[in-house]
Amino acid sequence: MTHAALEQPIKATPPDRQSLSLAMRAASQQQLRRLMARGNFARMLHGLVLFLALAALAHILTTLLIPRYARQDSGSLFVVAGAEGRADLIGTDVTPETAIIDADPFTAIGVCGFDLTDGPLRVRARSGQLPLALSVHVRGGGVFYAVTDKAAQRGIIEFVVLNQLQFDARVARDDDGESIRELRVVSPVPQGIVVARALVKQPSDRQTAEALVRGMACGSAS
Amino acid sequence: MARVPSLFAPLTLPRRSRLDPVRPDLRTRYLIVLVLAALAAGIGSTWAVLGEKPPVGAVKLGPWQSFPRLGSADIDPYGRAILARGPHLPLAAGEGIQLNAATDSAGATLSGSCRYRISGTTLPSRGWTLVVANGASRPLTGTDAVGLTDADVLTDEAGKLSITASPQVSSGNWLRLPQQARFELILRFYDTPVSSSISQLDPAAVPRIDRLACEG
Repeated sequence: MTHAALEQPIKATPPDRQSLSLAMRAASQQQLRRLMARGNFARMLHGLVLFLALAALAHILTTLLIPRYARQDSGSLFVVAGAEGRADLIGTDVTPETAIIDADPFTAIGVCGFDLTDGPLRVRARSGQLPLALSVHVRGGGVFYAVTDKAAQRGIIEFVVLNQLQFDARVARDDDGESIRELRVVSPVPQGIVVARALVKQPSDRQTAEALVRGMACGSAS
Repeated sequence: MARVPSLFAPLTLPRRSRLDPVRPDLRTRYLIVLVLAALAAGIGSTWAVLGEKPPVGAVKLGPWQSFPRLGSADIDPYGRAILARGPHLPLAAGEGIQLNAATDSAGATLSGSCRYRISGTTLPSRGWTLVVANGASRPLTGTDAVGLTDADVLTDEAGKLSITASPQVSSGNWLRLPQQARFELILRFYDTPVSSSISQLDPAAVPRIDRLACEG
């Protein structure tokens, strides 16, 4: 009997429908979870890239737009300085709104503003015993020209600030073969300031330095 | 008859009842939050970066730092934005050089409770000034204003200087320091021929700042 029983073919018991359905559901859930994890990761990566791109764009735009809309820079604050044809003295002891943040207390500073839409500007300063330098700052930041009193001719530093159109018109007006006796400085922007800075080595030099920078004349060069 | 799907089906909004408030779905809310957070991060990072000194373009010379492009036509956008935030008049490239030091030569932050020796050579120039500024690089003004010029300082036969910087009076060349935690030194050389080649300068060409002693 035992022998006969052993000879009988082994019949595999078919899985019941319920357990099969449970196994399939578990497998599909696992697959779904895996897909969801992959989807979440992709979504997170996409979100991160989008966040970084937008943040970089906002950073670049604000950095570039600040100078355009600024009203506190020296070029904007002092654009009307020197309206009388002479430089206005500025420094650390004026009103806090217009005090130069990083001014050297050992210098005297005079400023003339310019707006080239009104025509070219002629700048003329006399050199003295104290070191003097003139520089042209544009509205929104940046210096495009500077000269020290070493370049003075017969004790005078003189140049004309103008835009490209005014420069071209002046060149066209120049007579051929005739030497031009003016230094022309082309400004990249229409508005800015000309700064005269004299070094005050001793307290007793203060008045001389202030007179030197106040002596800078800024007038029409039309 | 089979229904033909509308071409605009993906764009049509689900019908809502009058009582159901119009609320953006989860995806739209996620996008709004993401955009707002990115804008805040972008603007905040601009604000953080635009301090007293530009984040780029520094030239290091021992303990001193210079930003020569601030006074030139090829100023970078960060420098331009910093200058736009307040009235600044940086030295032009042909006018001179400005050097700032917030640390001594060993790299320790300058402190008003210590004594320092500023020694060595200076750049060839028609004059220089040494000014004490607060921690935000702003020169002290009024009665606190302190500084020296080349006319105030005695040098040795080789032209080397030695200045003692301390809150207490000291013999020889003395630079008074304010009794405050942090300060900066600003050294400016006027009309110097090396202003256009500052990046190639040897740190030995400018003075060292050595800490002598500290109180407390």
